[in-house]
Amino acid sequence: MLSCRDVANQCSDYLNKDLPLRTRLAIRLHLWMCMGCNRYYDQMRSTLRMLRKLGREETKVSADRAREIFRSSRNS
Amino acid sequence: MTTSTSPEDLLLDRALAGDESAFVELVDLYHAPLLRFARTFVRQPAQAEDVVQDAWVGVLRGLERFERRSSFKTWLFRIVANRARTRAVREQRYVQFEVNDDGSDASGNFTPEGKLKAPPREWQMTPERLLLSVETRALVDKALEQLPDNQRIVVTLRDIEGLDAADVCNVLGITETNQRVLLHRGRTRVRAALASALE
Repeated sequence: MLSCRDVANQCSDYLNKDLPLRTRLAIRLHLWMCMGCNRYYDQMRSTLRMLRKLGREETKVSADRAREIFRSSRNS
Repeated sequence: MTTSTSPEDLLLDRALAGDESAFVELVDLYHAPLLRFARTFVRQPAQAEDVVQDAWVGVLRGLERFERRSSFKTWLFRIVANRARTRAVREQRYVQFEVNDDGSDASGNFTPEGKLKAPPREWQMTPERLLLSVETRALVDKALEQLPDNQRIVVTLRDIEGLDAADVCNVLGITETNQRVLLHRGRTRVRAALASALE
Protein backbone atom coordinates (compact mmCIF):
# COMPACT_ATOMS: atom_id res chain seq x y z
CA MET A 1 0.00 0.00 0.00
CA LEU A 2 1.44 3.37 -1.00
CA SER A 3 1.71 6.08 1.62
CA CYS A 4 0.72 9.70 1.01
CA ARG A 5 4.42 10.56 0.96
CA ASP A 6 5.06 7.96 -1.79
CA VAL A 7 2.25 9.46 -3.81
CA ALA A 8 3.57 13.02 -3.39
CA ASN A 9 7.08 11.89 -4.35
CA GLN A 10 5.85 10.24 -7.53
CA CYS A 11 3.26 12.85 -8.46
CA SER A 12 5.45 14.51 -11.08
CA ASP A 13 6.31 11.18 -12.75
CA TYR A 14 2.66 10.20 -12.61
CA LEU A 15 1.69 13.40 -14.43
CA ASN A 16 4.31 12.58 -17.07
CA LYS A 17 2.80 9.10 -17.44
CA ASP A 18 6.33 7.85 -16.81
CA LEU A 19 5.50 5.06 -14.40
CA PRO A 20 4.91 1.35 -14.87
CA LEU A 21 1.27 0.28 -15.01
CA ARG A 22 1.32 -1.37 -11.60
CA THR A 23 2.54 1.84 -9.92
CA ARG A 24 0.05 3.93 -11.85
CA LEU A 25 -2.79 1.75 -10.67
CA ALA A 26 -1.57 1.85 -7.08
CA ILE A 27 -1.45 5.65 -7.22
CA ARG A 28 -4.87 5.86 -8.82
CA LEU A 29 -6.29 3.67 -6.07
CA HIS A 30 -4.69 5.83 -3.39
CA LEU A 31 -6.01 9.03 -5.00
CA TRP A 32 -9.46 7.53 -5.08
CA MET A 33 -9.41 6.77 -1.36
CA CYS A 34 -7.47 9.74 0.01
CA MET A 35 -9.11 13.13 -0.22
CA GLY A 36 -5.91 15.02 0.75
CA CYS A 37 -3.75 13.41 -1.94
CA ASN A 38 -6.54 13.75 -4.45
CA ARG A 39 -6.66 17.50 -3.85
CA TYR A 40 -2.87 17.74 -3.96
CA TYR A 41 -2.81 15.90 -7.28
CA ASP A 42 -5.50 18.18 -8.75
CA GLN A 43 -3.48 21.21 -7.71
CA MET A 44 -0.31 19.79 -9.27
CA ARG A 45 -2.24 19.10 -12.47
CA SER A 46 -3.58 22.67 -12.54
CA THR A 47 -0.05 23.96 -11.93
CA LEU A 48 1.22 21.97 -14.89
CA ARG A 49 -1.58 23.24 -17.12
CA MET A 50 -0.76 26.82 -16.22
CA LEU A 51 2.92 26.27 -17.01
CA ARG A 52 2.08 24.71 -20.37
CA LYS A 53 -0.15 27.63 -21.18
CA LEU A 54 2.76 30.07 -20.80
CA GLY A 55 4.50 28.33 -23.69
CA ARG A 56 1.52 28.82 -25.96
CA GLU A 57 1.34 32.53 -25.25
CA GLU A 58 4.79 33.53 -26.35
CA THR A 59 4.96 36.92 -28.04
CA LYS A 60 6.28 36.88 -31.56
CA VAL A 61 9.39 38.67 -32.67
CA SER A 62 9.15 41.15 -35.52
CA ALA A 63 10.27 40.25 -39.01
CA ASP A 64 12.47 43.36 -38.98
CA ARG A 65 14.44 41.97 -36.08
CA ALA A 66 14.89 38.69 -37.97
CA ARG A 67 16.16 40.55 -41.06
CA GLU A 68 18.56 42.54 -38.91
CA ILE A 69 20.05 39.31 -37.52
CA PHE A 70 20.20 37.79 -40.99
CA ARG A 71 22.08 40.78 -42.35
CA SER A 72 24.45 40.97 -39.40
CA SER A 73 25.52 37.38 -40.12
CA ARG A 74 26.62 38.46 -43.55
CA ASN A 75 28.96 41.26 -42.41
CA SER A 76 31.96 40.03 -40.54
CA MET B 1 18.62 9.21 -32.80
CA THR B 2 17.91 10.18 -36.38
CA THR B 3 14.90 12.10 -37.47
CA SER B 4 13.42 12.49 -40.88
CA THR B 5 13.50 15.81 -42.68
CA SER B 6 11.17 18.33 -41.08
CA PRO B 7 9.84 21.62 -42.45
CA GLU B 8 12.40 23.37 -40.25
CA ASP B 9 15.28 21.50 -41.91
CA LEU B 10 14.13 22.78 -45.25
CA LEU B 11 13.85 26.32 -43.94
CA LEU B 12 17.35 26.01 -42.54
CA ASP B 13 18.74 24.79 -45.86
CA ARG B 14 17.12 27.70 -47.65
CA ALA B 15 18.35 30.20 -45.05
CA LEU B 16 21.88 28.83 -45.36
CA ALA B 17 21.63 29.27 -49.11
CA GLY B 18 20.88 32.96 -48.52
CA ASP B 19 17.08 33.01 -48.46
CA GLU B 20 16.18 35.75 -46.00
CA SER B 21 12.45 34.97 -45.93
CA ALA B 22 13.16 31.37 -44.85
CA PHE B 23 15.23 32.71 -41.97
CA VAL B 24 12.45 35.13 -41.01
CA GLU B 25 10.13 32.11 -40.71
CA LEU B 26 12.58 30.23 -38.49
CA VAL B 27 12.96 33.23 -36.23
CA ASP B 28 9.21 33.59 -36.06
CA LEU B 29 8.91 29.99 -34.85
CA TYR B 30 11.78 29.87 -32.38
CA HIS B 31 13.10 33.24 -31.32
CA ALA B 32 10.63 33.85 -28.47
CA PRO B 33 11.04 30.37 -26.90
CA LEU B 34 14.82 30.62 -27.21
CA LEU B 35 14.77 34.01 -25.58
CA ARG B 36 12.71 32.77 -22.66
CA PHE B 37 15.14 29.90 -22.28
CA ALA B 38 18.25 32.13 -22.47
CA ARG B 39 16.74 34.28 -19.71
CA THR B 40 16.73 31.31 -17.40
CA PHE B 41 20.55 31.45 -17.50
CA VAL B 42 21.35 35.15 -17.94
CA ARG B 43 18.95 37.43 -16.14
CA GLN B 44 19.53 40.65 -18.10
CA PRO B 45 17.07 40.77 -21.03
CA ALA B 46 19.61 42.54 -23.28
CA GLN B 47 22.20 39.85 -22.66
CA ALA B 48 19.71 37.08 -23.30
CA GLU B 49 18.87 38.79 -26.60
CA ASP B 50 22.61 38.87 -27.41
CA VAL B 51 22.96 35.17 -26.65
CA VAL B 52 20.09 34.25 -28.96
CA GLN B 53 21.26 36.56 -31.73
CA ASP B 54 24.74 35.11 -31.41
CA ALA B 55 23.31 31.59 -31.70
CA TRP B 56 21.41 32.49 -34.89
CA VAL B 57 24.49 34.09 -36.39
CA GLY B 58 26.50 30.95 -35.56
CA VAL B 59 23.86 28.87 -37.30
CA LEU B 60 23.78 31.10 -40.38
CA ARG B 61 27.56 31.17 -40.68
CA GLY B 62 27.67 27.40 -40.52
CA LEU B 63 29.60 27.35 -37.23
CA GLU B 64 26.85 25.13 -35.88
CA ARG B 65 25.87 22.28 -38.11
CA PHE B 66 22.59 20.44 -37.85
CA GLU B 67 23.45 16.76 -38.22
CA ARG B 68 19.94 15.48 -37.57
CA ARG B 69 20.92 13.48 -34.53
CA SER B 70 18.19 15.21 -32.58
CA SER B 71 15.12 17.21 -33.48
CA PHE B 72 15.71 20.65 -34.92
CA LYS B 73 14.23 22.27 -31.82
CA THR B 74 16.49 20.30 -29.47
CA TRP B 75 19.51 21.23 -31.55
CA LEU B 76 18.66 24.95 -31.39
CA PHE B 77 18.04 24.87 -27.66
CA ARG B 78 21.37 23.15 -27.12
CA ILE B 79 23.24 25.84 -29.03
CA VAL B 80 21.58 28.51 -26.90
CA ALA B 81 22.21 26.51 -23.70
CA ASN B 82 25.93 26.28 -24.46
CA ARG B 83 26.27 29.95 -25.30
CA ALA B 84 24.14 31.09 -22.38
CA ARG B 85 26.20 28.95 -20.01
CA THR B 86 29.45 30.46 -21.26
CA ARG B 87 27.96 33.90 -20.74
CA ALA B 88 26.69 33.04 -17.28
CA VAL B 89 30.13 31.77 -16.25
CA ARG B 90 31.65 35.06 -17.42
CA GLU B 91 29.21 36.77 -15.06
CA GLN B 92 30.38 34.37 -12.39
CA ARG B 93 27.07 32.62 -12.30
CA TYR B 94 27.40 28.91 -12.54
CA VAL B 95 24.39 26.65 -12.74
CA GLN B 96 24.88 23.35 -10.95
CA PHE B 97 22.73 20.47 -12.21
CA GLU B 98 23.94 17.85 -9.77
CA VAL B 99 21.20 17.28 -7.26
CA ASN B 100 21.57 16.86 -3.56
CA ASP B 101 19.10 16.64 -0.78
CA ASP B 102 17.81 20.18 -0.53
CA GLY B 103 15.44 19.42 2.31
CA SER B 104 12.49 20.17 0.06
CA ASP B 105 10.73 16.83 0.41
CA ALA B 106 8.08 18.49 2.56
CA SER B 107 8.61 15.89 5.28
CA GLY B 108 6.93 18.24 7.75
CA ASN B 109 3.62 17.56 6.04
CA PHE B 110 3.69 13.83 6.78
CA THR B 111 3.52 11.63 9.84
CA PRO B 112 6.51 9.29 10.41
CA GLU B 113 4.49 6.59 8.61
CA GLY B 114 4.17 8.84 5.56
CA LYS B 115 0.55 9.83 5.97
CA LEU B 116 -0.53 13.40 5.20
CA LYS B 117 -1.04 15.27 8.48
CA ALA B 118 -3.72 17.46 6.94
CA PRO B 119 -5.12 17.75 3.42
CA PRO B 120 -3.92 20.77 1.45
CA ARG B 121 -6.41 23.61 1.68
CA GLU B 122 -8.73 24.17 -1.22
CA TRP B 123 -7.85 26.87 -3.77
CA GLN B 124 -10.32 29.70 -4.06
CA MET B 125 -10.58 29.41 -7.81
CA THR B 126 -11.93 26.81 -10.22
CA PRO B 127 -9.44 25.08 -12.56
CA GLU B 128 -11.00 26.93 -15.50
CA ARG B 129 -10.56 30.33 -13.92
CA LEU B 130 -7.03 29.44 -12.89
CA LEU B 131 -6.15 29.00 -16.54
CA LEU B 132 -7.81 32.17 -17.73
CA SER B 133 -7.03 34.64 -15.01
CA VAL B 134 -4.38 37.27 -15.59
CA GLU B 135 -3.50 37.28 -11.88
CA THR B 136 -2.70 33.59 -11.77
CA ARG B 137 -0.52 33.99 -14.82
CA ALA B 138 1.46 36.62 -12.94
CA LEU B 139 1.66 34.26 -9.95
CA VAL B 140 3.11 31.49 -12.10
CA ASP B 141 5.68 33.88 -13.59
CA LYS B 142 6.69 34.99 -10.12
CA ALA B 143 6.89 31.43 -8.82
CA LEU B 144 9.16 30.48 -11.73
CA GLU B 145 11.31 33.52 -11.11
CA GLN B 146 11.88 32.38 -7.53
CA LEU B 147 12.93 28.83 -8.36
CA PRO B 148 16.59 27.90 -8.07
CA ASP B 149 18.23 28.29 -11.52
CA ASN B 150 18.56 24.56 -12.21
CA GLN B 151 14.90 23.85 -11.42
CA ARG B 152 13.70 26.85 -13.42
CA ILE B 153 15.71 25.74 -16.44
CA VAL B 154 14.35 22.18 -16.38
CA VAL B 155 10.73 23.27 -15.73
CA THR B 156 10.96 25.81 -18.56
CA LEU B 157 12.18 23.24 -21.06
CA ARG B 158 9.83 20.45 -20.04
CA ASP B 159 6.61 22.18 -19.12
CA ILE B 160 6.68 25.50 -20.94
CA GLU B 161 8.52 24.53 -24.12
CA GLY B 162 7.26 20.96 -24.18
CA LEU B 163 10.56 19.10 -24.69
CA ASP B 164 10.58 15.49 -23.56
CA ALA B 165 12.89 14.09 -20.89
CA ALA B 166 15.49 12.75 -23.34
CA ASP B 167 15.62 16.11 -25.15
CA VAL B 168 16.16 18.00 -21.91
CA CYS B 169 19.04 15.68 -20.96
CA ASN B 170 20.49 16.23 -24.41
CA VAL B 171 20.14 20.03 -24.32
CA LEU B 172 21.65 20.39 -20.86
CA GLY B 173 24.01 17.41 -20.80
CA ILE B 174 22.50 16.10 -17.58
CA THR B 175 21.46 12.64 -16.43
CA GLU B 176 17.92 11.35 -16.56
CA THR B 177 17.82 11.10 -12.76
CA ASN B 178 18.88 14.70 -12.25
CA GLN B 179 16.39 15.85 -14.84
CA ARG B 180 13.58 14.00 -13.08
CA VAL B 181 14.47 15.22 -9.61
CA LEU B 182 14.84 18.86 -10.71
CA LEU B 183 11.51 18.72 -12.55
CA HIS B 184 9.77 17.21 -9.52
CA ARG B 185 11.21 19.79 -7.13
CA GLY B 186 10.50 22.68 -9.47
CA ARG B 187 6.87 21.71 -10.04
CA THR B 188 6.39 21.07 -6.33
CA ARG B 189 7.67 24.54 -5.50
CA VAL B 190 5.54 26.23 -8.13
CA ARG B 191 2.46 24.50 -6.69
CA ALA B 192 3.43 25.57 -3.18
CA ALA B 193 3.90 29.18 -4.30
CA LEU B 194 0.49 29.16 -5.98
CA ALA B 195 -1.06 27.54 -2.92
CA SER B 196 0.17 30.27 -0.63
CA ALA B 197 -1.58 32.85 -2.81
CA LEU B 198 -4.73 30.90 -3.63
CA GLU B 199 -5.74 29.15 -0.41
